[in-house]
Amino acid sequence: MSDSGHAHPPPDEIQVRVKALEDLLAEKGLVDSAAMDAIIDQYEHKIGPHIGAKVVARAWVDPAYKQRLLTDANAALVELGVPRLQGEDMVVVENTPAVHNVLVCTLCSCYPWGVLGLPPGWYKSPAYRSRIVRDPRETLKQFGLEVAPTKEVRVWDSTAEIRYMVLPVRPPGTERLTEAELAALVTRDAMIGVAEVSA
Amino acid sequence: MNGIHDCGGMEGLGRISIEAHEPVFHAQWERRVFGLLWAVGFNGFWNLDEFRYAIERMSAEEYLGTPYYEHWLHGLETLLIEKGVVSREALLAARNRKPNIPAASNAPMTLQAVAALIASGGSAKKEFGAAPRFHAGDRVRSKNNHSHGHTRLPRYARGKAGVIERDHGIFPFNDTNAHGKENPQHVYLVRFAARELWGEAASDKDSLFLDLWEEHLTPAA
Repeated sequence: MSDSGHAHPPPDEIQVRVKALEDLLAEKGLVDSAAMDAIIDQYEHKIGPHIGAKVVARAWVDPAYKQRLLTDANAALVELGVPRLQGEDMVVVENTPAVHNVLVCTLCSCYPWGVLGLPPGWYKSPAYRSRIVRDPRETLKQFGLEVAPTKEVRVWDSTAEIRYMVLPVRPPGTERLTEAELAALVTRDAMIGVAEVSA
Repeated sequence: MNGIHDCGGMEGLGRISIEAHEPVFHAQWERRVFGLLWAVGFNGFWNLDEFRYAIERMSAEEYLGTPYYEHWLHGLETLLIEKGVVSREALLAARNRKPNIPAASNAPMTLQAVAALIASGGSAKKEFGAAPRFHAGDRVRSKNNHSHGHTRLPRYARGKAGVIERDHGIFPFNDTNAHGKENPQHVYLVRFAARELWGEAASDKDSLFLDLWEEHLTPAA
């Protein structure tokens, strides 16, 4: 620790603060660092938008699955082995030529972890949270998405423990693609609703 | 509480900064804070709503001036002290000594528990409870309640008219659960016209959907 009186704290101050906390809790037998390593590894390397992309691709190729996904998302996600943590009670909302859906959590950072992993920084930022509810169309333009004035925009603010995912529109010209090829087109941003899927 | 966290509709909060190829964590300490939250959360000293409320009690200056995972760290430290798990003195003393120490052996979140936790999570939903007061299609008005405690009814949606879209079932009431009372009740998906919330400048085609608890709502004619 430095005592030189710099206006800014040394960059490792927070590292020390976190290490001290972890050590203290480990001494008390409250945390197991190997278990922490495991959950960190899962969300850093294993669980991410590729899971949601598989769900979307399945819905695009299998109308019966899509119907189940839109009417009972929990059961439909279990069918594909999607993790449930922070996605225990899911609702999937469908984009159509007439309706564009977009997600936010204005009060904190609720996000469907099971299908998308951990949220990007902008999703958690007060800048996004404050604007998307008030001016969704202008805000979406900052992501390069212009929603036609004839379309309806629906903003979903996750104020309770229900988590949402957007089912994007399948892009034209993809009729010959396999399910895996379709999944490769689907982006995280399209499942949040700040982008569309393009072929 | 009317804190800075309840920022829906505010202006002046800066540009939306989109980081290309953003990593899941930006530093090692962020990884450890993420892991700690789950490991300590597993101990059951508090619920998620108490954790949210601990973050909401940050000063606006600190909330806006610190990275996201520092909010989590603040929430963790605040609750560990408030619940008597560690003392403030012990926390400060720990920062001034050499890092050390193997974990004790009776850790509640074990390696084996992680896979089950991720696979199954833990739904807060209740199977049984009171009959719903509202049904799809009912017109409702949200209460104009400026609570000093935790609330999931954002400022921008208070005192507004909406329509029940669906009944999500029975959940603990986050507003009271943050203060030690589960008070389970129905959660409803409520649709508000964008113009009801934001005035005539909003598109007449647009709407916002919020999940609100029965106690947030009153019947509307």
